[in-house]
Amino acid sequence: MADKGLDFDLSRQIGGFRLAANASLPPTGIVSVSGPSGAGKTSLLRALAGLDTGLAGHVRLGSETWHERTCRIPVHRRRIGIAFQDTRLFAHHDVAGNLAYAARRASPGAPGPDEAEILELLDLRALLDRAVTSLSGGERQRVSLARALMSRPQLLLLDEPLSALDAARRNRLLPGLRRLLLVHAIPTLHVSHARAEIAQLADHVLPVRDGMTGPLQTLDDWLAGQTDAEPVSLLTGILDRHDAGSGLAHVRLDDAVLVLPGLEDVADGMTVRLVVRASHVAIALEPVAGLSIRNQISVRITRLHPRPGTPYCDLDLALGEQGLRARITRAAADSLDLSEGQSVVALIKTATLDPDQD
Amino acid sequence: MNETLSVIGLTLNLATVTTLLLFALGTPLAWWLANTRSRAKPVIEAVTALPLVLPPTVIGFYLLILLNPTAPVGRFWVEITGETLTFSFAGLVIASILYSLPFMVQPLQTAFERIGRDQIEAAASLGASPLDRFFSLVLPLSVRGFLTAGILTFIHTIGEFGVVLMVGGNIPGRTRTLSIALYDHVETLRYDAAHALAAGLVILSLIVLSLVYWLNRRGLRHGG
Repeated sequence: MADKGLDFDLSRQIGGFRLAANASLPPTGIVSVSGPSGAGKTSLLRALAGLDTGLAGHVRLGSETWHERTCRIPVHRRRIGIAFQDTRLFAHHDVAGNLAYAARRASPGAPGPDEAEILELLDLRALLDRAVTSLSGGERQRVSLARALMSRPQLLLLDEPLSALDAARRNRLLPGLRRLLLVHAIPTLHVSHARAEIAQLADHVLPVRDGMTGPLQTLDDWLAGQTDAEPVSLLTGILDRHDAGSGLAHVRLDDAVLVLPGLEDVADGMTVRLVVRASHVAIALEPVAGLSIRNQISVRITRLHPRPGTPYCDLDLALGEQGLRARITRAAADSLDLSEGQSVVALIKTATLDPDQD
Repeated sequence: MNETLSVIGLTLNLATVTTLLLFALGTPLAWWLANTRSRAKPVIEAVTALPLVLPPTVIGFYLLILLNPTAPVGRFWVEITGETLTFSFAGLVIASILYSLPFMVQPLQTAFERIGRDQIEAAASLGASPLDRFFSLVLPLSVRGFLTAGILTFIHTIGEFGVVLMVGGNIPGRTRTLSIALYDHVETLRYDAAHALAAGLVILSLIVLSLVYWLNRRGLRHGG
């Protein structure tokens, strides 16, 4: 595995549109490229893959130089897996044939997931004999992603890979996809404008606007910058079990357990990321009985941020190793006499997979 | 009867050789035309299509000028083979290749353009080299284009007259093809023999063209 990740500083003029992008990405992990439609996200992926001509600057992966001045490694020698948004399945092969096309051309001995793992993740066994013309949009995208993985790439480029999948299928798939990419250490660049997808998949976010890349951000920082109105926090936990009767799922975070609805699509044992809005977290000095909020967990206050000009005070809370933010009124903070270092109980009203969901 | 068989044999031989050589020459040309962004493309397309609009005698005339033993090309051929290009089977093949070029190139170009860049890019990203992509993707996806091109070239070569007469003349066993023999029969008022050849060509052409249209209809229904 390369000790350096994808490194690029490139520009390309396409008619009246100018792409100017530079970043140095970590050697492993998942980077989401985020930006509005027409910002140049797909153009950036194409430029990095070497699919377009007229590129100035450089593109390197680890010690390999892919593009620099006149030196240009052709696409087929870069070992990139691409899941195109429009899938681009081969019409003259069935699903199994499409996967075999990629497997036959994977470089021998390259690390990567095996076929069984990929079929399991994307739930493709039942589709193997189907003609690609008979597949739905979501099925085509799953095959396209599987095909890219089968080629055992040293870099994976995903262009809106799950945009045609329904939310349930996407929620079921994302934690498993993230785990597979991390286990096999496949560095991934992922284009999406669905914040839920980014929240479940990414380690870092590369913002793109008007053809220009911004600085690489951690997912937490990016999420925090997404809503001006209030901060959000991201909690990572393991889904322990589903409670069939109540429709609730138990998610373990270090010592604490959250019991939540809306996770019925995620399988047991999966790592899930939960988005919590600061205003959905309340504070109590002791566990409270006789309250509709069931998720009451012990936390420690690490910082108090009174917000001048507003009636609010934001709190940074430590939940084991993880951070949680709460927004309460300053009056409440004063009357509870909160101070940094104090142990309190956080009452979490809701935690969701999707930052756009209330 | 023996003469008729010799005429048919020669004609089929010429059509087969021409079609095979045109597969080899027309495929790269059609591929280039389907993919190039060069400004020369319309000019090359026009040159390729020229045999469709020019009277065959014009092509035959220029070929005669080019291939005769006093011209550089013709002289070179005589030097390496000891035979002339004009009034020979080799000369007929060259003439037929030029004359039938659009019938090979145009269906292939259409087939290649229909594949588009998308699937080619996908194959490249999966590690397929350009040659690999041609054989694993382009060829299977344009099978109908190749069939149409081959059939049209073959049948068109069988039916050509003007070019053959100009370049090859009318030498039994060497350059006397079906259409020349038919002309010969009419000139010598052997209408029964002429009828047999003419009707044979009409029926053959009808069968072949029906096959082409049937293939294209299937192509449309299967979406590619």
